Amino acid sequence: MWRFVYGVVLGAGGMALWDWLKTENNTLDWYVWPLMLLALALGTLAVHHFFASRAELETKAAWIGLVIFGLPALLLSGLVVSFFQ
Amino acid sequence: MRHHSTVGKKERMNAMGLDREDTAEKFNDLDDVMASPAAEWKRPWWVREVAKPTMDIDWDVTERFDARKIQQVSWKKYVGEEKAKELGKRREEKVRQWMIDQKSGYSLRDRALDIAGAQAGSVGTSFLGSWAKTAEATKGEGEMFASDASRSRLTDPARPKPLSPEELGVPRYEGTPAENSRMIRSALRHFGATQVGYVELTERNRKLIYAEDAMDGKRIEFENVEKAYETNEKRVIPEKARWVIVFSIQMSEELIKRKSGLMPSALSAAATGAAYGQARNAIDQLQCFLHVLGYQGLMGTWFNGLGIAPAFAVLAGLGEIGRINRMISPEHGPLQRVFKVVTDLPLEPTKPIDAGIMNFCRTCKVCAEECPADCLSKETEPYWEPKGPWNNPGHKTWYEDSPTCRTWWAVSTAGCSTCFAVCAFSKKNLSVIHDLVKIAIAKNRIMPDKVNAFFAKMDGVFGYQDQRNIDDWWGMELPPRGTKNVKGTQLD
Repeated sequence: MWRFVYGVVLGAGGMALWDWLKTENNTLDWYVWPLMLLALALGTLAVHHFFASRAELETKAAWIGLVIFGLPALLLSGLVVSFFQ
Repeated sequence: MRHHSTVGKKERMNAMGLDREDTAEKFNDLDDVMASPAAEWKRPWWVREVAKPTMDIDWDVTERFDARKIQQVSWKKYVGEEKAKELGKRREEKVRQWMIDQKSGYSLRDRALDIAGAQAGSVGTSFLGSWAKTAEATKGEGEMFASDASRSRLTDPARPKPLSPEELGVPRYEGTPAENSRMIRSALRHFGATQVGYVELTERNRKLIYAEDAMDGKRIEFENVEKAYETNEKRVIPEKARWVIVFSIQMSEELIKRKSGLMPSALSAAATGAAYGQARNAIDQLQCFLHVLGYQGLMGTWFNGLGIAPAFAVLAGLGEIGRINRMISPEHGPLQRVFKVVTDLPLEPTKPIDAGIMNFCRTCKVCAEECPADCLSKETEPYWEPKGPWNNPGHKTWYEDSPTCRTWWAVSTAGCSTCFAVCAFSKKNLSVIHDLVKIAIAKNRIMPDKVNAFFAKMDGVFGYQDQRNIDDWWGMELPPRGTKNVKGTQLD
């Protein structure tokens, strides 16, 4: 269920990005793409680990994982967004 | 003669979906189903099959071991009769008082759970199978199968003996070693096993079969006979029984982590007890299964069976030896108990594995540091010299001080599994981070010791080594046996 929801959100986000790039006739520097992918991977890991750890009944691991993987994901996302300006 | 167990009727094949044209594979009978690649043991891709185990073995030094030397049997001898008696008396007093005090983790209900799992069950273990010494083969009119006889003889205290193919008047089962291996794995999983592997006995590794039985000291010998037998002095394994079925029963991670400070609780001990209880049934069911197929399945008179469990588990590739001097598997860590049945059913041996576990144990040391009895080695490198007569020499490992471990059980009143509970491989494996760490442990070649030490440190930071609240367990809604047991199966 949550995988499905995540897939829909990811798909919608990807389509919005594609739309923005085409309609605004924008281009992104090459290094933005790996940064974006890294942010996405870390964010995905943070969210997955949080819920999986809760399912494992490892609450402490869930929160620590959210901070350790989630914070870099947020920072990288902020950096990537700044390139969109 | 190849004897297929055919499913002859087309409608039955239809019902099972076996003759559908659109299936990826065409199955003609059940043997084809078993021969399908889908029936293979699914290991993670980073687990490498190797020719030799990661633990060094010197077969010239290895000798057949007297099973009575293990601490579970000879602890009193190692610590002294007087001390053992005194510890036993104090243990009894504490057990009784803590029941009255309703001490958390040692109350009557905690103790009852431990005792019921370990000591109750339908049968005990025996050389030839529990049913071999009960009633004669039951073949009354309309009683072809034992289940028929059971239903009609509910008041008979003697359990009916299942019929062999010879007694049934049919040919015995015949299959290739590969087919037999798949069949046994499927049957054992049905009987409750977690992982299954096979070892073919050779002149060398036969040294891992005990020389004397743990309980009654009977000699265990190999003879060129058709059928296994036992006398007052010895139990005889036929030379043709050249294969060892090695399997494990998983333990509940949630239960084993419920210690009381440094002390193991009766509740945490119940994880081990239940695995042994379940194994008793699985072993007897396996022996019976082999008998009905027309083969022999041989077991010891005690859980330790006819041979050394961690050694056979390593040779069969269930896992690698770890600092705890027990088998640690990539999928379930040390949260398993290992059992063995010797058989004359030809089997395809499974290979030892290298998943970087033994190398990880070199730098981890968490189990040794957390051991409340300080009986595990903190040496970085494994060594050849045993700690005492309870160890069988001939392999390079971290030999443990078993009598000190067992003495701690007496002091704490409960079987200790702290080393199992805090192991970095003791996980439920739902988060992908565990797989990523295990891949790095198996494959990383850049400063592996430093990276492994970092993983061991982070394991503690994430709280995986923390003990759980004891009394919360009684209010939890856990799956059967407390395990989510699909890792390594087709449902994984």
